[in-house]
Amino acid sequence: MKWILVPLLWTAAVVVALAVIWRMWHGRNVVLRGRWSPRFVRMVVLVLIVVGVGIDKASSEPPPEAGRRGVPRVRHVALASSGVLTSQAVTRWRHGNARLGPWQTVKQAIVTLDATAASPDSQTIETIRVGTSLLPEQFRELLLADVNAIEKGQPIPTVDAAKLIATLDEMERFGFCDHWSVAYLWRKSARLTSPGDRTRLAELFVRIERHARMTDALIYAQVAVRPTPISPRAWMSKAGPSREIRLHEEQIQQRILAAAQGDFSTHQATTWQRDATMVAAVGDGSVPVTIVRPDGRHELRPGQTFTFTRLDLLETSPGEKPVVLRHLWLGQIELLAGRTLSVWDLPALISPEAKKKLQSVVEKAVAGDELAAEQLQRALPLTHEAIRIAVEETPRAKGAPRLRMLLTLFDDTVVRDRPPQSPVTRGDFLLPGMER
Amino acid sequence: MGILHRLFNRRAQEVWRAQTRLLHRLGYVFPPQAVQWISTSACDLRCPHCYSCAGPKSDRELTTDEAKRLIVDELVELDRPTLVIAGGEPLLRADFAEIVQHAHGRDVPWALHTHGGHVERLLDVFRNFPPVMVAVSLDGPREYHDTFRGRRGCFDQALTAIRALKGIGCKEVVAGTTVTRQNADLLADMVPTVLSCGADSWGLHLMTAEGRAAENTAMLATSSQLRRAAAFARRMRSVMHVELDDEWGSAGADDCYYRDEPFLCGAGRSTCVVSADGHLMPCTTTDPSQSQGSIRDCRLGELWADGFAAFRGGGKQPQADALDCWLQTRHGRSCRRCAFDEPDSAGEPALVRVSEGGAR
Ligand code: SF4
Ligand code: SF4
Repeated sequence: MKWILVPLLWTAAVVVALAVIWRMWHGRNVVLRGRWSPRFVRMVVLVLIVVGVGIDKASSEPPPEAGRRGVPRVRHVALASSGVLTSQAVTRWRHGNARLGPWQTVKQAIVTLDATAASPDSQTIETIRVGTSLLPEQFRELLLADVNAIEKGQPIPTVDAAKLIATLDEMERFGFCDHWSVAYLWRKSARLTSPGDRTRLAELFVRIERHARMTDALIYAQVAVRPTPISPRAWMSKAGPSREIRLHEEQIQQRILAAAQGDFSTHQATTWQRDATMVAAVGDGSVPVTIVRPDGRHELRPGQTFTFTRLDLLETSPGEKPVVLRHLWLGQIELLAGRTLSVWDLPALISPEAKKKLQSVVEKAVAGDELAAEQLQRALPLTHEAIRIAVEETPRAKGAPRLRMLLTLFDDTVVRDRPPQSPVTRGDFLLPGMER
Repeated sequence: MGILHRLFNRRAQEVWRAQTRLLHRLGYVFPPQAVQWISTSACDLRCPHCYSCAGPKSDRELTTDEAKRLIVDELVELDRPTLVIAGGEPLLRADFAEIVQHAHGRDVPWALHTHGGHVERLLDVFRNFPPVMVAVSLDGPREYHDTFRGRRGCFDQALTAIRALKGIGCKEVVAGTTVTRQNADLLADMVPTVLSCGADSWGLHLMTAEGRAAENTAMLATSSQLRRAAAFARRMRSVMHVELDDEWGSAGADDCYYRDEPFLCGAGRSTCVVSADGHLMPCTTTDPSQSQGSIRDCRLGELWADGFAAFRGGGKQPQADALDCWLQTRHGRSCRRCAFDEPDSAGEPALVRVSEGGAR
């Protein structure tokens, strides 16, 4: 039998090889149709790629990773060891972020309220009330208190740092990771002025940063794992999902979790590191200042340049000599001794001459000057308050829409609410032990 | 979810690019996933950013019979990719309903790009032959939209169209905004409108220097506008479904923060365009030198199989770069760097000195 089979196989192989060669040189291309041939081809390609065949070096590379140029990145703590990103967190995050789910609807209603600064209609209020019923309790309380205030035309209520941290705690226990929500809590920090609150700002900002990274890690992991969506089936509603579906769901959960945990310590910069930052230097004759960042405390010496983000704090030590920062455009900024200063305080510390300069640039930007707006954007930690006042006073000016876009980078959403001015110059929040 | 599936998903872009190249070398190609048909050059508006230079109807447009036979029937042979009907304004074609009915009858999924002005009149067509997606243009707040499109009432018509389509249960209605220098900074002001109009998602396109837009390049968004708009979209994705569309190019590993699917330019690889006069193009360019032939002379399937070698073969030419929008790169206007890169030291390089240890 063998003496027939072997020549036949060889003949078949030669015929196939010749056919392939002929097709490669003379033949017309063939469209791979049907169900199985594309799948099979993809499998073959995958195997080839795994062994390193077929990678194209000529294509343009992705944009450089965050921090490769210019501004180095914050060092991150691995999420895997933080104990926050759990299987439950992944499940809830997936449900909470469903498109057109109740939480999305609530956010949309609140953003519309915020963006239009209009008095809310009863339907919107009801949407928010009903939609928030599934949220973690403390977070729900905060949102509803705001909505009630807006409804009655009252100022947005203040909450202390302890409440904000407790809310974040609860959100994370609940598996509630969300960029909009964490930015909402961060904006509340603008109203933290008591000395007790100030001492907890660093803790709050560390938590906010971690929350944002965790959310980014989940988004990233979801795409990396890309779970096959399983549509709910009505006939199952009483019995619950089948064992097969439940297992499938659990597998997906675990994969997202693993991907998010693996990614957490290395992945790209969040919006907090990317946007609304500014560069400044410690003045040559200044005393050192400590910058408190989510990755720890660092002393900045005279002459040293640094990037300031919305989650950074500047801590000045007690003493006679002030810290002096140098900003390319707005000149010297004097920080009083013995303070913890956040991005909400910096505008109040600009010198009177610099304020005049700032005002003239704001006026140009309001009139529609693009370069002036860009100048403001590059110094948002110093300029955000002046921009807010300008768009509030002249909302229909030519340049006002652009300035509102700048503010979305700072606020992380579209809001019209103007946080109260910082009381920093009044010296009412000294470091512990510095109280007069 | 076998191991191959997982490996494939993790390296989807790589696999896709490699398989396109390898298959091309072996003389094979996958069927297209979507075929866009510039169904007419006729339009009752004259937008300055129009990539298809729409205005009067051209005399070489495909007839009803040709559209059915040379496009729809051919798509059946190509495993039924989505037929994206664009223009001009497709709803100005008198045979629109007939063509859509034919596509529906042959199980070819169809989608539509429209300015929305004629949707209400043809609502029954949408009801009877449901599309998989309709994108309605929305350029900015009312005053801006109407001025830009040159006709009062356009904005309201677009909103009415979106609501009407959702009202009859249309699966996916997209509010499509082409970002230009004039409206890039109006996006924040558009949020309440987009949220309340009922659209399922908000697609942010970029103007490409094709067709009439090539004469209006001063309208292209600036680098800092692109970066702002991308950062804005990333934030708004927490609240609603916003997508940066193809023309932005790839954000690399950050793609997931801007769009649902990782970016890959499909031109000639998974998508193609049939121009108003029947030429098969890689994308929505009006440059005749890019034609792979006319579907009047050669079957669409054959043109697809044998054409687009520069896109499929790999190499250094811009067509082979699947990580950027070919339409943009061919005009030297790649947007991905300025839109997605980290800013250099927050844009103030003059002040920056290298830090000597300590903080960042
Ligand atoms: S962009 Fe659309 S609506 Fe405007 S002229 Fe072109 S086809 Fe017509
Ligand atoms: S050329 Fe641009 S618009 Fe056309 S398919 Fe490629 S990415 Fe999309």
